[in-house]
Amino acid sequence: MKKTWLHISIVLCVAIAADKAIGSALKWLLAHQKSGGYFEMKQKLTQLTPQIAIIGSSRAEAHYNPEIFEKKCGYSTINYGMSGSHLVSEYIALSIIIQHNPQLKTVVLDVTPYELSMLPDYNEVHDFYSLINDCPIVKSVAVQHLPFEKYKLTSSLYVYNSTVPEMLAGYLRKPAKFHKITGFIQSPETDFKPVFGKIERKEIYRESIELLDSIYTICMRANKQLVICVSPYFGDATESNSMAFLKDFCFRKGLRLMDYSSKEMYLKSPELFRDEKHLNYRGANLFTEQFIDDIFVKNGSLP
Amino acid sequence: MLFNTFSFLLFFPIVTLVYYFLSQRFRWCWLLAASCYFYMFFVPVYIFILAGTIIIDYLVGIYLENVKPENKKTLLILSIIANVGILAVFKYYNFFADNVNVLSQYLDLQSNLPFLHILLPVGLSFHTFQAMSYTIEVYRGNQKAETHFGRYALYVMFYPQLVAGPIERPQNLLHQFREKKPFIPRQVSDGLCLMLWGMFKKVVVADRLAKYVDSVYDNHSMHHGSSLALASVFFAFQIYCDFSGYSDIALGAAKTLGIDLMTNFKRPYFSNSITQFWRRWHISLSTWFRDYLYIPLGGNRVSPPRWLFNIFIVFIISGFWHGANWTFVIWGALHGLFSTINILFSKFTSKASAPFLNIIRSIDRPIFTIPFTFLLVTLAWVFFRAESVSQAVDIIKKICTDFHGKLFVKPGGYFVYCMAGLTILFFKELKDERRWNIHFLSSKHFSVRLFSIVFLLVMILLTGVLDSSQFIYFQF
Repeated sequence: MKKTWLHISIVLCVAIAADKAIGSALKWLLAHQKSGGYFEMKQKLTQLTPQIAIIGSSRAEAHYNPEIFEKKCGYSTINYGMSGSHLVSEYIALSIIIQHNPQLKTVVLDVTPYELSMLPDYNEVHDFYSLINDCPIVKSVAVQHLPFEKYKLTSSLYVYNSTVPEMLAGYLRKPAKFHKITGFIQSPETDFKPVFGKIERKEIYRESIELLDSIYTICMRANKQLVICVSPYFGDATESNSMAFLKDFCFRKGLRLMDYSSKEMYLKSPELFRDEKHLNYRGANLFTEQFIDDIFVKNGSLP
Repeated sequence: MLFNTFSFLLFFPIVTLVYYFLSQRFRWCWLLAASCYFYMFFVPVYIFILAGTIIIDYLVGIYLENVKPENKKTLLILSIIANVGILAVFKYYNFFADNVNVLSQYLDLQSNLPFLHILLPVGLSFHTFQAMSYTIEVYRGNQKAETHFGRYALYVMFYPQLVAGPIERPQNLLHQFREKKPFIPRQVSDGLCLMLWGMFKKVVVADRLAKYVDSVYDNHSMHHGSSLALASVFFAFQIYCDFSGYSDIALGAAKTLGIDLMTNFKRPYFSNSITQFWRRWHISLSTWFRDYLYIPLGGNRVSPPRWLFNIFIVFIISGFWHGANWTFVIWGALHGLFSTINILFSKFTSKASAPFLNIIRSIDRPIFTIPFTFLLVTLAWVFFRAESVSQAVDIIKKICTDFHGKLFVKPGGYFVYCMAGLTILFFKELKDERRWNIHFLSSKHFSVRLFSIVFLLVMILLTGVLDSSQFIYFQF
């Protein structure tokens, strides 16, 4: 029996030692990167200091061209859109940007017409685990919203789950030049065959509303202007509950809501789309121009 | 409760430790309470359905021993109707209603059966079959009726195998709840190692492969033949690692309690034929069908056409057992077809002339037969994974014709993870299949065991998909 307990203790000790040792090695590797996805994400969120930040999902990433912003209105702009992200990622990214960028004046939050009809997935916080040592908001969101995460985070390896190949690849790539980063992804022109449909009336989630409210609160606390925009979508969003709530929310909070989801100009031009959710490069440039014109001419100046 | 969650990581040591501290008299009680808690983690109210079937089968078991022989059959039929009835309502009613509605529409009839909006109780098919095996064995006289209600309930509800098997027989399991189980360190350590290996298969291999399979199958129209073919091969490994991973964890968890469950998998992808595949895949289900359906139908002691029919019908029912969808029926039918062809071919070759036999012998080598069997099994898996028959046909059509498109690649070093997991799996399976005298988790040397355990733990933490995704077979 004594031997059994001794063996169990040795296994536990070696496992903990391995966890800490390998975890520390990976932490060092991450901290000393000069290139790669994680390095770029860290630099983009913590080092760049634009005046206008565009936050959102892959739609934001593909719809707003920061070069046009800079050319037309002279404000430095970065597109922080992240493919596959929703309100949780947007909240975390914005919190980090606001914490690190005192020059920021305006935040453009791009939302989908059904944004509030999606239950927030707090597992999105895992995408930010490479920043957990530098940005306390990441850990606080994880601990607050994911069950048992506090205990899981006692493992040093856990935060590096599914990161090793990408981290090692960072050492093989050339160092990135950050002054050229805009964050804009140019979507190719495709033979998009439109199927025009209605964006269903769906239940909206309290958790999504709370997140939207948190985004509003951090902007207000940091004295940043928040503009909410629903960029073009190839579908009829007029009956979406999410849109109705969003309009009401912006009205109550005194926010600008720029709604392009029902603009005929886009709904009649499938050639501007890559697919029903995303504009192609041509559509994105056209939309960015129109967005800047609308916000400057019709609604007064930006920052 | 899922095995791959943090809740189970707390649940398991508490249950095991308390179990060994309790005296034998109270252990069944503790395990039953733990099993109820485990089951109620899903949909708590469904425990009443389970309790209903347990009470019925317990009483039927006792009456079967006490009634006149001529009434026994009626009792058994009643018990089977009760069990299958619950399955029919929860699992098959909507499928039936849907098909009746489609048929009536086709025939211009005015029938429109309503659908039931209820969740399928987790593991319903598994515990129903386990309960049925008890009444059938009591009826046959192979098992004495269990008079202790708690122990019988535990036989149906024993938490390691409650929701996805192995489907145990009463002769193997019931007596183990009565026996005194002392704490045997080696047994506990073997159980824990088996659980660790099962967890590796689930989170490192199956869940990682699932990401590619889901991306491709969920948007199959956007992908080319090469991506669909790779996704289909990945699914073959995904479902194996998912299900055998679950079985390993179940066997390991039971072993830590001193209870032996039946082996459910024996390296099925090393099979030389479809017949052999079914001796190695989901053994507890295939032996269930053999003992309670195939043999009562006459097995192979009937005329050859009837024998082939028996095989075919058993496979179709086995497909239907998996799920209420035509895709599963076709999956079963394909295996039935392959098995009957296999048998016919064996019969034909046994009568073949010498030159022809030489040709057959030159082909009949593992290097050809194993990949060929794998190919057939993977082809059938397409139907198992697809949402509908038309989707499966589309996918197969694309795999066979659309060669020119680019292979879909997931970013972030995805294939590195897949290859790492699959390589370790392949090496372990090959080692076991060839019975190489190399041991890692079961080594006599503590240092080797220690290294293997720590290696697997690090692999799980670094490369596992830790999102607590469900096991595929839970839906059945």
